[in-house]
Amino acid sequence: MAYSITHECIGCSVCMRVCPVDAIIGKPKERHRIVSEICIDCGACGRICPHASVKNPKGELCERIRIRSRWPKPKFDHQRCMGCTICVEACPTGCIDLKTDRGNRETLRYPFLKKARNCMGCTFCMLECPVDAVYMDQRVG
Amino acid sequence: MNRSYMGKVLWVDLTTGRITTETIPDDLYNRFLSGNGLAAWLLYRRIPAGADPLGPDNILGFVSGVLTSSGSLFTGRWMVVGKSPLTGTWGDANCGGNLAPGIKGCGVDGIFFTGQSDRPVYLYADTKGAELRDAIHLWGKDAIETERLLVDEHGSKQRARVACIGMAGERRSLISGIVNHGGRLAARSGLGAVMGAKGLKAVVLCGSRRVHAYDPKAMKALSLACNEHVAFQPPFLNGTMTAYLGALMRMLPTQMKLDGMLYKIMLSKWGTVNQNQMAIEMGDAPVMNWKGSNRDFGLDKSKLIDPDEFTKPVVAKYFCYSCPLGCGGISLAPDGKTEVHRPEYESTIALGGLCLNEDANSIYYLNEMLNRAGMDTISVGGTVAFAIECFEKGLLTPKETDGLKLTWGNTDAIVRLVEKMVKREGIGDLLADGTRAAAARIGKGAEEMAIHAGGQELGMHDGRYDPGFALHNVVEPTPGRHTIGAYMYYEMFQLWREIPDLPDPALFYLKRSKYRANREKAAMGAACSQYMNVINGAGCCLFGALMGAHRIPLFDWLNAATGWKQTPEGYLVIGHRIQAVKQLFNIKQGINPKDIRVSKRVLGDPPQQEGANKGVTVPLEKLRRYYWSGMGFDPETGVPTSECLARLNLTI
Ligand code: SF4
Ligand code: SF4
Ligand code: SF4
Ligand code: SF4
Repeated sequence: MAYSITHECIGCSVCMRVCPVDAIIGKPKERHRIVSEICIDCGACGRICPHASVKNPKGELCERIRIRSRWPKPKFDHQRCMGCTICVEACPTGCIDLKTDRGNRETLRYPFLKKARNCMGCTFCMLECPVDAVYMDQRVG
Repeated sequence: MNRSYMGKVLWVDLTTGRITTETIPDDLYNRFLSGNGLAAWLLYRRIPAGADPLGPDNILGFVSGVLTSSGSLFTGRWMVVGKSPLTGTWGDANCGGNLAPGIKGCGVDGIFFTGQSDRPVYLYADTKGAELRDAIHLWGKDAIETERLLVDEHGSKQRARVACIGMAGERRSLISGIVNHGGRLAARSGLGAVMGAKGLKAVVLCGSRRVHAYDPKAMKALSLACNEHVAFQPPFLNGTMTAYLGALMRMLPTQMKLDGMLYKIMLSKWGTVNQNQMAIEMGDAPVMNWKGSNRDFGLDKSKLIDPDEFTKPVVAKYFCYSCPLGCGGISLAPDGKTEVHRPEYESTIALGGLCLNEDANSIYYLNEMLNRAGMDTISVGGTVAFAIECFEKGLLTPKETDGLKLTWGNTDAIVRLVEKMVKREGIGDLLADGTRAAAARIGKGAEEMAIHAGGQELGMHDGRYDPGFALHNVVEPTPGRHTIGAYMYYEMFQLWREIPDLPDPALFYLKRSKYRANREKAAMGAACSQYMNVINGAGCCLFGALMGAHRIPLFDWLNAATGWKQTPEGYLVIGHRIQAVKQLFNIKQGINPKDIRVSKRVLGDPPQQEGANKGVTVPLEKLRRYYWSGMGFDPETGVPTSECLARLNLTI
């Protein structure tokens, strides 16, 4: 399963720059292609493509979210979070980190979105949290 | 098909630089899981007999488990495997930290290194592929610094997880390990030396491939239920009371079957150091190179390692990947800025009571020094205690020790000695390969004071207190390990709830009964070995498993993750198969299982005159025969019988 690029693609390379795993290849102004063995289905290319040329693995055309700061971003529910770092490791762009709070031997360090600009709204952090402590906030970045 | 494992492993030939991917058939996962299990099968077949552990023929593997990143909890452990240069046997070491999801993130279940590079290199791998890169600039740097530099270089737009060696591995110290996440070690079996000998400084894993379980909904439900147990954390005793509890347990003639929930609560509160004083008081912790007892390191001497006192510098909990419990501790170094890992129980006893060292600060200091050097604190503590006893007996004199007065509890001398071991300087060079090698060079009967099993220094759990430890020290294909089996582990695993055929120990029993060798004890030991292989194949943490099989749904997770419909009994058969392969590995490498011995002293031969374990002797030979026959191995030789191999479907 992987994302794919349709013949509408004009080769603007915007998707190439956002792809966290360099799965997109192609020359400028020519139709680009997604290497399916590399693609991790994050959907960033679909959210960014200005020419409605990216399809998700189900074959549906992806919807562009014009302003990047409106892309969904994670929020963390400290009541539920157990500090397991799964979300930290799940993030393909490494933008989640643990707070450096200091207390005592029973203090938990909670995750937070450290590099919000790198977040590409893939929701992996939310999907992988075993206790539903991550939710996506769509309003502002 | 979503089965949680990646179905591939990476092979890196360090001699030629060639990197290839091998597809692993489903059948092998069915039979061996992944982690140590799959690795044991591959290495058994591919390391030639008689291979030099420090030569190009040895294979060094970094492996994740079937459950790594699948949505389960406690399953963030990774393992390193190879032929051990310390024991010559099957070698493995286990570590938490954050490497395991990195391995699968790169699309493989394991990364195996063959050959030997003539210049220092590191492996860089991500979602796209892998390549070897030059590591000249990193060679000579300590492990924590190396990790920092590599994360800075590769981790700005992606996650970079690093495992590397420090100076000890570079200098091929046979008691060196491999370091991850700021000083967590896959410490045992001396595999840091193998990495050093291969010229491999580090592996850097930046992949972000996702792992897909067969039934993610079921995974989630199981994890939520498991977390309920972990979250149960009533207020508990303070530190001092743990010591009194230990003393009380020493005085009673009876013992109570342990429930892992109690241990979980203490582990969550203090980390492994919850046991510091308790274990000394009840006789689980060895003292004074295993010849002393709680009498030599009483509450007055151990007060600085009281769990409350000892964890004062801790500022936050530390969690391995995917762990809901977080038994680690991030603590502040005396400079008030640098964050270091709090020493674990094993390190605290090995560098403390085992050498009669009362100075808790020195334990923090040595722990960090050894984490940076990438050296095994257990083996270092064991070797220092050995050196002190040699000094006491006159086998080492100030002339050989470079002037150090190696007396019991001499903190300054101990610190200087460990520094020398890291640098392989003077007396340090003699000791940097552990007690067996040092005793052979010292001669004059020093072997008697070298406390090891098959060459590996023992973990800080006394077989005279729990004979299960003594048994597993010698019957495991990796001798001298404390993380595989013990009677107390068996009690806490509570496997009889899942497998009714297994013995259910009485709630209260006489301590005396622990020293009887019989079929029931053998069944307990065999179940521990088998279950631990399943735990390692899954990539799970022993501490999670100690909560009890009814609280940590390991078998159910495995089924939900893979789509298998295996029974708990079926999983133990897999564990049994893995154990048999590791045993065959040793036999192929010329190790006669019967020759794996442990020092007589730790068996109570002669029995101790005072203290918690006064007067007891472990009937090890008898126990081992029962264990071997229970495992389907020849009771006299330890060689798996042909019926056993046929039953395990192991056609060699
Ligand atoms: S879905 Fe993500 S990983 Fe796949 S091509 Fe698009 S941006 Fe790259
Ligand atoms: S949605 Fe979550 S996992 Fe994805 S990039 Fe943003 S923070 Fe990372
Ligand atoms: S995955 Fe969930 S529980 Fe774990 S640290 Fe992230 S938010 Fe917390
Ligand atoms: S219990 Fe401790 S060692 Fe085990 S995974 Fe959790 S933090 Fe790591």
